[in-house]
This record gives sequence, C-alpha cells and structure tokens, in this order.
Amino acid sequence: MAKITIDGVEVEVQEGINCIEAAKAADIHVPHFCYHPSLTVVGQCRMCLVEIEGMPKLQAGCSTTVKDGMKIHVWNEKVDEARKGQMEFLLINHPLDCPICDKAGECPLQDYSFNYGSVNSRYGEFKRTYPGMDRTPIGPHVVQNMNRCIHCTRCIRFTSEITGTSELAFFKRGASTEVGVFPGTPLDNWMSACVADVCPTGALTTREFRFESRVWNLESADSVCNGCDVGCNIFVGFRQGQVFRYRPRVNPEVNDHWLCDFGRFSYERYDTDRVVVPKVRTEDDYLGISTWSEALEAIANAVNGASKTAAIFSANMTNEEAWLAKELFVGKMGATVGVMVDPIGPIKMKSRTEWLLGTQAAPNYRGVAAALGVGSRESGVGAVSAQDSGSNSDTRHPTPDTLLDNLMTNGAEGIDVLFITDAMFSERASDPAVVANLRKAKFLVVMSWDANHPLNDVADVLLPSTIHVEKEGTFTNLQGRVQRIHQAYPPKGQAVTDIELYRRIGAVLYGNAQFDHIPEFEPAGETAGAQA
Amino acid sequence: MNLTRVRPGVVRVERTPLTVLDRLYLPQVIAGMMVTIGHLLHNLFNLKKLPTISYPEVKRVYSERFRGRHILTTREDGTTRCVACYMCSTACPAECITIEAGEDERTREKFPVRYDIDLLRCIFCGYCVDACPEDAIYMTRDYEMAIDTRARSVVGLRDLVVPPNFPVGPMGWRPYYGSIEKHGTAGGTGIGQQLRSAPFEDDAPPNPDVFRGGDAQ
Ligand code: SF4
Ligand code: SF4
Ligand code: SF4
Ligand code: SF4
Ligand code: FES
Repeated sequence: MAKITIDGVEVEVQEGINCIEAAKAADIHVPHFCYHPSLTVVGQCRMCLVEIEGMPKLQAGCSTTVKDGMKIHVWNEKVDEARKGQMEFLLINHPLDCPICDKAGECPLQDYSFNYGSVNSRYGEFKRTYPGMDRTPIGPHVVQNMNRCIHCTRCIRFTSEITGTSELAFFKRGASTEVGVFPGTPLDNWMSACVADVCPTGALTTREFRFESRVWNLESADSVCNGCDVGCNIFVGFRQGQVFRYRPRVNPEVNDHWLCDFGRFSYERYDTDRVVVPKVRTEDDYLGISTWSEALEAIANAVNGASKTAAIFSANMTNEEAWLAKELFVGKMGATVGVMVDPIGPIKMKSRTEWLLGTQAAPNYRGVAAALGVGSRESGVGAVSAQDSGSNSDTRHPTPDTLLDNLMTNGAEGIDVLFITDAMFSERASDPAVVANLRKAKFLVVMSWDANHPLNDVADVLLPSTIHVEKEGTFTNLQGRVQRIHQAYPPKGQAVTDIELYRRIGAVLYGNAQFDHIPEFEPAGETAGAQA
Repeated sequence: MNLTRVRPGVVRVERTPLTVLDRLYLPQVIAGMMVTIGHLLHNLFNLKKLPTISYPEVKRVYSERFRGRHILTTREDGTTRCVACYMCSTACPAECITIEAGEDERTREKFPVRYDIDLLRCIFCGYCVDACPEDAIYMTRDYEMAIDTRARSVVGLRDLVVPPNFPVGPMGWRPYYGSIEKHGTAGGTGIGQQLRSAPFEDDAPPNPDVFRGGDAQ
C-alpha cells in the first residue's frame, strides 16, 4: 500500500497503480482519452497530465505509477493550462459537428471541450479532413467517421488485445494518419460493436443505434442481457415503452466493459407486435379477445376437471418466477413439469480475469433447473477457459428433458391441460410439427408476448406475458452468480408481469393470498458499474 | 370617503350623500356622452391618426423580434438546414417539437424526416431559435394561426420548410439581426464555409465546474 496525497486529499492505494486509478480512490476525476482500465496504457493523448511534486515537468497520469509519499496535483493552474493547450491541439482538426454526431451527450471530447476548449480558434489554416471517409461502414455493425477521430488507438487496442482479431490498424503517418481495416477484412468479429463504446469520440458508431434517438432522451435501467447464459450486465436504454439499445454495465467478474454483438442487438427481437389482451377459444372454435376474468375462469374449469396436467417452463424465467411457478404447478396442481434450453454459440466473453463461454440461448436455465431440482450436476458450474473448452463440455450441455422431448416429438396426447409458460421456451416451438404435437393436449394454455408466434393461434387460452425488460427479478448465470434485472417500463396493454400472472391463476384456483411470499434471491456483489 | 377603524378588521365607511344633480342622473349621463361625442368628432376629423386599424384589411407590422409562427430555412442547394440535432426539442419548455432523424446515403449525413411542431402547445418563447446551432429555425411575424380542428395545430416539414434564399429580412425572432459580418474560421470545418463572428466577446467567466480543488484559480 502507498500513502499518497492527491489535491490535498490523503488516500491509501495499492502501490503500482497509475495516477488515474489512484485519483479515483480520492473521488477525483483525471480527464483522459486514450487510457482505458481494461486496455494497455499507451500514453498517447496527453490529456491526463498531472503535476507531481519533485518532478520538473507534468507527467501523464495514465503511465505514471504511484509510489509511497507522492504528492499529485490534478487540478491546479499549471495542469489546467496544459490541459487547455492539449485540448486546443485535439480540436485543431476535430470538426465539432456535435449536432449530427451520435456521440453528443455522452462524448468525453465534448465534455472536455466544454471545460477546456476555447470559443475561438487560433488556427488559421483549413482543417484537415478525410474526404469521403465521413461515413464508412467498416463492418456489419460499425460505421466510421474518420474526421472525428482523435487517434487514441483505443479501438485498435481493443481488437488486438481483447478479441485478438486485429482488424483495425493505423494507416499512413503524420497528420494523415487514419484508422482503418485492411482491404477485404471488415471489422467483423463477435464483439465488434464494443469499439463504438471504447471510442471517446463519435468516430465509431453502430449502424443499429445511429440516429435512432438522442442519448439524453433515453432513460436507463440496470439489467442483465438475456441472450445467453453468461449474463452480461447491461444498461437498457429505453423511452416510452420501447428499447433503443443495450449498453454494457461494468462488472469485472462477468463482462468487464464488453458485450457481444448478438446480445447487444438482441433487443431487436422485441421490435414486433405484442400480445396485449387475453384471448379465449369460444365454442365455435374462435380464439377471441377476452378479459382476464373469463380467461382465468376457462383455465379454472379446465384444471378442475383434469386428471393429468403438465407445464413447460422456460429458461427465460427469473428465479422468482420459477419458484412461484413451481409452487403453483407442481405444489398445488400436481403437474409434471419440464424445462429445456437451446444450445448456442459458444459465445466467448472476457471478464477481467478469464474467458466465459455462453452455450445456452437463454439466461437462466441453471436457476430454473435448480428451482425444479433437476440438473443438479449443473451446480458448481464454473467458468471454462477458452483453452480447455473441450474437457468439461458436459457441464455446459444440460441434460435433455425427457418430458419435453416426448411432448414435442410424440405429441401431447393424454394430457388434459398443458401450460406453456413462455411460447419462446425453445426455437423448436415455432416448428409447425412441434406446434401440432403440443396442440394434441386437450386444453392448451399459452403465455406469450410475441403476437406472431405460431403457438398463439392454437392455444385455448392465450395470456399476455412480458419481456425481460418489463419485469423485476434475478437470473443465475453460468458462474452461479445471481444477478438482478430491473423493470424498465411496465407491461403493455393488459399484460401483467409473470409473477402477477401466476398469482392470478393461483388465486382463481386455490383462493387468495396463496403466493405472497417469494424467497429472496440475493444478487452476488452488485457493482455500481459506471462506464469508464 | 370617511373611514373609521372600529376594531381590527372592521372599518366603518361613511357614505357621501348624493347631491341633487347626482340624484337626477341625467346631467351625469349627458356629461359622459359628451366625452364619447368629443372622441367621435375628433376621430372623424382626424381619420389619419386613428389608433384602431381595420383588421383583416389592414394588418399591423410587428417588430423584428416578434415571435410568430416558425419556419425552417433552406440552404442554397435546396436542402433543409436542419440536421435533426434535437437541440430545439430539448430546449423547448412546452415539449411540442417532435423530430425523427434520417440518413441520406448520398448527400447529407443526417436530416429530419419528420419535424412536427404542435402550435397549440407552443408558447412562442423562441428558445428553439436560440438553441439551434444551424440557423435552421426562425420565427416569422406571422400571427394568423387560426385553425378549425386540433389536428391542424401540428405543422410538419411541408408547412415549415421555406424555399432557398427566402428573405429573412421580414422575419421575426432570429439568431442575427442587421448585416451579417462573416470572417474567421472558428468553429466549423473550414472548407468552403463562411462563418460568422461570435455574437459576443469572449469574456465569459471560466466555467466554475472546472475546478475541483478549492484554492485553484
Ligand atoms: S465526437 Fe464528440 S465532440 Fe466530436 S462532434 Fe461528436 S459529440 Fe461532438
Ligand atoms: S476511432 Fe475512436 S477509438 Fe479509434 S483511434 Fe479514433 S478516436 Fe480512438
Ligand atoms: S417557441 Fe418555445 S414553445 Fe414554441 S416550439 Fe419553440 S421552444 Fe417550443
Ligand atoms: S435545433 Fe435547429 S438543426 Fe437542430 S433539430 Fe432543431 S431546427 Fe434542426
Ligand atoms: S490518458 Fe494518459 S495520455 Fe491518454
């Protein structure tokens, strides 16, 4: 440990960390562009200059490690003067076209030019521009505007150090240095959109979010990506009941600063019509719009006369929902239940210390399986490193669920009431053959949010359910880490959260106040998770 | 009138008795009529100085700073100056501006595909004009905005965009008045673009947020 003084604040920090990190301990912000906590230090932008007593010149805070007894000044006149000068250099060629720049509002360059930029430029020449490079799609997701680049190399270091794909590099030298891809190799890796996050300017933006919304018009909710079982921490950017983007939320143990492209753009699946009202099949075989009370009554009638019930759980359920659904369907109804998960990827995700491999296409198979008491060998599943991914493969592949397999391949004959708690429980559920097989149950209850799902049309009772940004709860990821998701906006139309939905079914069948108590699932070490 | 304070909160008012002339009423009515007739005659013989105007045949011209209906200005090449930056809708206290941004593959990087102002919600504060970094939105001196249905209060690009070289002289509230003096390259890309000098001297005090330490500065 080293005792250092930063702007008169005495703090004790670990010896060997750099001044920017040390200043964070004293709650002091050192302006910087090229330094990124998860990338190597290059000391390229000189924005992080600090004064260290005893050193004749200002030092770059990112590449200067602290030592016991150091006295560092981050905010004094000399440093400020240097920062102003540095900012002037950076802005000589920067277009400052913030009105059409998608980064505006969350742009470090914009923030610092507010603080240090000068209103008038002393630069008499024409600005250097890169003609024809103001809208270059350099990959399937990333659009580049070279004019805005400040040559911090964060994006280049990301591709060489994190993904190891090295698509990006500097071309040319001097004032005409440009960031680009090699001919024929676009920036096409599974985490390519992360370069738009690390870029401190609007030089790199994503095609999907480009011009969709101004960032200050979005609200944000802490959540967890439901693309796969890695469970990357995200911010959901939303407005007026619509998701606009996912943004990584820093969690060094899981996803560090990153998100894979599949997960980052997985919100696009919500860009569809939603089921917003309950529907009930009438005597003349018409699935008509109905009310909650009629739908629940139809379910109650069917369940009361049934001898054999079954329920298909989904790996998209939260732990709380799984617990409650198990109480309802297994505990009260005596149904046989099953849960399955589709294989995916494997999707590689780099935490600060290790590689995580996502192999399941849903966020919470482990939590649901644990609630049901199946797949106990899943417990203690740890992270597997990229090298030995072959060795312990069977911990990542869940046991096939015999009930579900039987239902989907041989048909649901003999089952009086079949509950499908989530029409999206598997990709296979959209297969016409599987739909026909599931339909063989005498009475089919489907809970679904996608209005175009083929299972909706065959249901006897269709209940509107919710997507994961509309509910509160916890997911258990592949490390066994319980992580909380928060509700971004309330469910649409007459839909209710799934917990409320199970409670309603429970109330109509077994009386009120049956399912009030849900055990607490304590998330592991919630991190504040600010963007670096 | 005589006022006597009786106790806190209560005041006694002595009535002034009416005189005989007052009681007759007629003399006072005639006195009042004389004022009216005096004005009538005065106006009849001084028609030029009449303070009222016969709207709508005659229309009043308001000052250059009048904040009337908005327009969106146009560049020489016919494209709207607006770049859909959302500054105006962010500044708008009535939240009556709705913008959707689009991208044009060939010419402009960003432009509005939808730009709606709800004139019934608009409070004509002019903040949108002040906020616009592109001189794209001006306010005119047009104050005739009567509509017959509420739906018509929402005006879109079709109503707002004016042709290129639209004379801004007769406009109302706008970013610059008088002759526009252009020099320097501050703040733009510099290429082929003439820029205006800052409208104020750069004597603003330094941003107080800049300094985190106490004794600096
Ligand atoms: S990169 Fe930042 S400073 Fe530059 S134009 Fe975009 S928002 Fe403005
Ligand atoms: S594109 Fe962005 S991240 Fe890459 S060097 Fe330029 S400014 Fe840095
Ligand atoms: S004048 Fe004021 S209220 Fe009207 S659109 Fe502009 S900013 Fe909004
Ligand atoms: S502030 Fe000006 S350029 Fe920006 S959206 Fe409004 S009118 Fe368009
Ligand atoms: S952050 Fe230190 S030089 Fe860029």
